[in-house]
Amino acid sequence: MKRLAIFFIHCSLLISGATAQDSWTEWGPNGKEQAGVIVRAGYTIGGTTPMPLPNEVRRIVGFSPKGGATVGMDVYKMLSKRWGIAIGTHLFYEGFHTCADVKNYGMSLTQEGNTMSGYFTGRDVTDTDMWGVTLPVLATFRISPRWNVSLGPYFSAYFKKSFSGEVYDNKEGIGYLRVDTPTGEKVNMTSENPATYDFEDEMDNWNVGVEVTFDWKAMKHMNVFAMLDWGLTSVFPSNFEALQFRMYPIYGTLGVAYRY
Amino acid sequence: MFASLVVAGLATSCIGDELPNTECDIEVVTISVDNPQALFYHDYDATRPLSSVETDIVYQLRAGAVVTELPVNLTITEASTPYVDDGTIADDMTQPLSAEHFKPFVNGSKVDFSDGRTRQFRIVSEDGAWSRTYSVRFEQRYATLGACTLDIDFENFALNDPSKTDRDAGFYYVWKALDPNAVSEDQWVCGNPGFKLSKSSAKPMDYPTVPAVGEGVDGGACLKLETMDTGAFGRMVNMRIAAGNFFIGTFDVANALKDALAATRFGLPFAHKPVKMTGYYKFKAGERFQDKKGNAVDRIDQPDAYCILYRNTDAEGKRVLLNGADVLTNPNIVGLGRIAGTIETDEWTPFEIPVVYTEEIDDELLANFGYSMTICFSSSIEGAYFEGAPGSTFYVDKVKLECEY
Repeated sequence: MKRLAIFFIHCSLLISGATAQDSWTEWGPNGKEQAGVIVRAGYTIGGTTPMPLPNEVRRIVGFSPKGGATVGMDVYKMLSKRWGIAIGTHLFYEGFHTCADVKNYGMSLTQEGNTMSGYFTGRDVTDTDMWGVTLPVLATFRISPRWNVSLGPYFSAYFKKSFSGEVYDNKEGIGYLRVDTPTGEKVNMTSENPATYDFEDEMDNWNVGVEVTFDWKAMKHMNVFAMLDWGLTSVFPSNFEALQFRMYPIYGTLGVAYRY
Repeated sequence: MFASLVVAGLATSCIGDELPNTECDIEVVTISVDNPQALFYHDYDATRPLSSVETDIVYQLRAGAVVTELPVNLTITEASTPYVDDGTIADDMTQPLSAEHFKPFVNGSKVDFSDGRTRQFRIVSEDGAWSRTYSVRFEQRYATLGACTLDIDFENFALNDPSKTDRDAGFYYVWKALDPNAVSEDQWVCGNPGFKLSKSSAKPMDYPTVPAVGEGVDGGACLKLETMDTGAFGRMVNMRIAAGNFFIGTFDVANALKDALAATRFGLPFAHKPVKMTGYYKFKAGERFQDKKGNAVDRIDQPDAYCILYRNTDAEGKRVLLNGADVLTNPNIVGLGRIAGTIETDEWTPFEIPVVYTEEIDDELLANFGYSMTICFSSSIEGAYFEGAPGSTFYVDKVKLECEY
């Protein structure tokens, strides 16, 4: 988290230096721009992941974000030359597919009242999708006439979601569950007969996190922006025991915006 | 694409240090002697791969073999630490000794197994948090001579954890063979441990293989086998049913999901020539016969019962162990008898299965446990392939295996 903050400060400094020649009269908030609307559309990628990555994850074998998208609208109001506030409504689709080799990864699957739990070593493939709306409340800051950063909490609600996957053997042919404890029965699993899981019904319908967005005024009415939504709550409720770790949605969006 | 590489790169850089191992298994026990035949009936007996649930290891010795100083090699979980008992003999050596009775064990060290004593090995995981204790013992095995009849009456059963009751989910029945001619006391196994994986909520009497107390031919206990649905976990791995089964051999639960046919290993060394198996059965077919995918098939389910004798060593001296895939077809089979013409009946009905031989028995090989024998009962004839009718119920009682010599 600290590293991330330093990264953003660096970015801000670079940006403000590079754009020193832009004038506030040309780009800055003038009478007409004390309040307004920004309509955004962008490409969203990211993942739902334990943070930090637990030691039980030994290798990320593959990661492919699904071509996610965000469309939305922010309403802003400037309170001073540099400071303002904004609220937004962003509809999004985000998802990813990942493949990781894990060792001794605690998990517990329950279906129809029967539970299979223990420690899995092998390959875990996860596929997740989320459709929903994010409502951020942001403080906005004009770093320079053309650069704007906004930061604030958000609330997301999911309309549709999925979190499913499979566990089986890795490239070395190792794939097994130790039932209940590391000394329990060993149950081998292979890709021909993988154990599958689907936690859709267990997922929370909401998420709370922090949104940070950098806007650059590319043209009179058009911004290019980069937005990061960093979930601070797990996509699963705290009593969810199937996975040993809390899973946070962390998704970024690159896109263009139109300013009214 | 670039973005995904960046993310993957970031994620990879976040991989933490590998945690120390938590497992502490003996995977293989090897008695490293130059001439295994001096100790064992088969060369391959000296190397004993263990399943993950096996902790009591009994080696069967050739009559008169001396086991005072045997070099033992253990293949154990990487980075775990092996210990051997310091010679303490507890009153009950089936229970693990406490940690202070163990000293470090070095592979190849000689261990004294004389006088039938049980030695214990303790393996401690790399992280120090877990341990398992194994007992190893050698017992002399003599071939009993002459004609005999094995009485199989299904009366000796208990829960796999005797401190539990019929109300405790997650436990199931196991049977003991107390007949002096039996292959071993623990010869009878079934698929219950596999069923437990899919139905953790099942109580002992909800399993496919159960005793039916008071329902036997003479009012005692009999064996009840029932084909059952395996629920959501079974569907997940395309193993929708579990036939009730009961057989002589071992059940390797580790491969129950990976390769179910290979998980049922039929037969144990036997020094008699079975000629006929008789007994009583009742059978009721389940209503809906389904194929592996769960689709209904127009077919009436049937039970299965057979007895097989086979050569347990191939021409190169390797172990031959029949499994679900070749139990009825392996070329090493010398004698086979299988039930035929079963009918649906709720009355006890006698059956008689002659064992038909396709080659002459080598008497010397027989006396040296060069043949293995299995008996198997199943509530669905295609149960090994996960085809059958849930609800098919096969009762068996008062089985006798007649051996010519």
